[in-house]
Amino acid sequence: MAENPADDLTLEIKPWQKGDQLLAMITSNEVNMSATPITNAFMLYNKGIDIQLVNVAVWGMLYVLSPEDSVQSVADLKGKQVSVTGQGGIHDLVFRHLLIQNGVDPDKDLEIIYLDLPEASAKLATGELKYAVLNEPNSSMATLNARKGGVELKRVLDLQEEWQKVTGQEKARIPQAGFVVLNSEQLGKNAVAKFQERFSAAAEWVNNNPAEAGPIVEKHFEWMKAPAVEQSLQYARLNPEWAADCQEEIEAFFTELSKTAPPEALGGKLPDAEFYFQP
Amino acid sequence: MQNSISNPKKDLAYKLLGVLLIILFWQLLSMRYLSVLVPSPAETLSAMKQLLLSGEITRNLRVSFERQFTGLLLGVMIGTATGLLAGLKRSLELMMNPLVKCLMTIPAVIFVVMAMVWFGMGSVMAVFVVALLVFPIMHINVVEGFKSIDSNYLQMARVYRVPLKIRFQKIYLPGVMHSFLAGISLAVASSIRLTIMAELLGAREGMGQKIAISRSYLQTDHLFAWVLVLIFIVFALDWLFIRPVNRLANRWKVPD
Repeated sequence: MAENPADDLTLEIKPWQKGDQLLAMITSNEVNMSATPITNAFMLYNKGIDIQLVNVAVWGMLYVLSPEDSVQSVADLKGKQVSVTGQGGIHDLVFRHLLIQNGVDPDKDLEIIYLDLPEASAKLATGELKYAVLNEPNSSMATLNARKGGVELKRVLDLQEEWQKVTGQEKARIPQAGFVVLNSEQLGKNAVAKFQERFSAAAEWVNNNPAEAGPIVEKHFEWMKAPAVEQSLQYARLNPEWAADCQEEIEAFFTELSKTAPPEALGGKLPDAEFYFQP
Repeated sequence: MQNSISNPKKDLAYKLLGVLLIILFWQLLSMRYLSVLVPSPAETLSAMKQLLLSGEITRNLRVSFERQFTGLLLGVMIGTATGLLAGLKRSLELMMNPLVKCLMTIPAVIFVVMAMVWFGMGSVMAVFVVALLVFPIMHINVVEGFKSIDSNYLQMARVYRVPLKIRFQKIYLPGVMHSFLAGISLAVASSIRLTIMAELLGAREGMGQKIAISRSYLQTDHLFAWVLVLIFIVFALDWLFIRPVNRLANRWKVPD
């Protein structure tokens, strides 16, 4: 994220890896806002945490990567071994939904294995694994890593496009992750508005200047290497929008998803209107 | 019996009081904090009932138990075999010492992470980790057993050229039995912890994996329910297996 020292909005970035780490940061009042998958925001809200969704920052950045061209549709994955990151998380839920809607039984017709990025990336590079569902920038990191080993990975399926096919809606998007505000009263609407303004501007700059953005990201998150970030931005669909403006779209997406997803993966139910931060 | 006026009934009453205090403290915490942080005892019990009725507990218990038992069996067999050999031959004991020390000092979670890379997720990985870490426990205990054998017996056996078979039956086995059984009860207890840890990180089913899923869905009541189930199992194993084995072990103990 671009920094502007002249801005009075000071920002401190604290990384988190697992939902309960974020929960710990929230309950100890360590953070005011957080980037999180939308499903995680649902869970926290439904568990009675004072949390509101400010924006959806990235849309549908899930891809099936493979060194082969033979897979052109979800149904082509039948009989294959596919790795997915995070059992029960949004990647798993979306992928399973697409399989089921394409008449593929995720538990019988193919083998899903759960690997985190380093493992999936290593196995793709050695050719041991042929198919992996990865999000950005992980897919770019895996691609660059595999290239070192002489394996050229391609994004053979774009899960957002597949989602559009399944729902029959050309413009359907996967609201994947965004920012939440905690105890919004405490932080105040102005600060949130200022954040959104700066964040949108930064997102636009990053999208237009991927080569310059890479090193900045790497400085804050050393595991995200600059070349991977640069490649990733072409596929990340970084396009922040106020959550309140896309409430209907979010609800439509998760209503569709909950046809196959277990309710507990969304914290039991879809959140009510209070969940969406009103600017 | 350190306490000459120990009264079993009174002891039990104090233990029950301890349990009640834990529950009371737990209840107070749950009243103070959101249920996603600390679910109340009642919420935990109702989650447990739900898990029991849906058959999840039985199904996952069976998976975990199979892994634990297989790993335990392998580890005990290997550890006892190498322990016996090392007990008989000091050079072997010294040669194995670094390996055993390494296994005992390296944090178990590192083996889990590596085993996931080597064997993938699932049963093989869990069984491997349990066997690998039960092995040094048994090895050390059996070797210790040899050391506890009265050297007079060994000298006598040497002087009278007692055949190996008789030496095993009359001197080594009785001498080693006490430490062997003590090792078993230690191995059983740690194999449960190891199985859960291995499953927590790298399995698609089993109790540990259910705990991991409850954690990622922030279903703290389910998480607590699983932990409660785990506590029941450890207590049951303690009463049904570990205590009888320890009593048996004490019978083999050579009076000083």
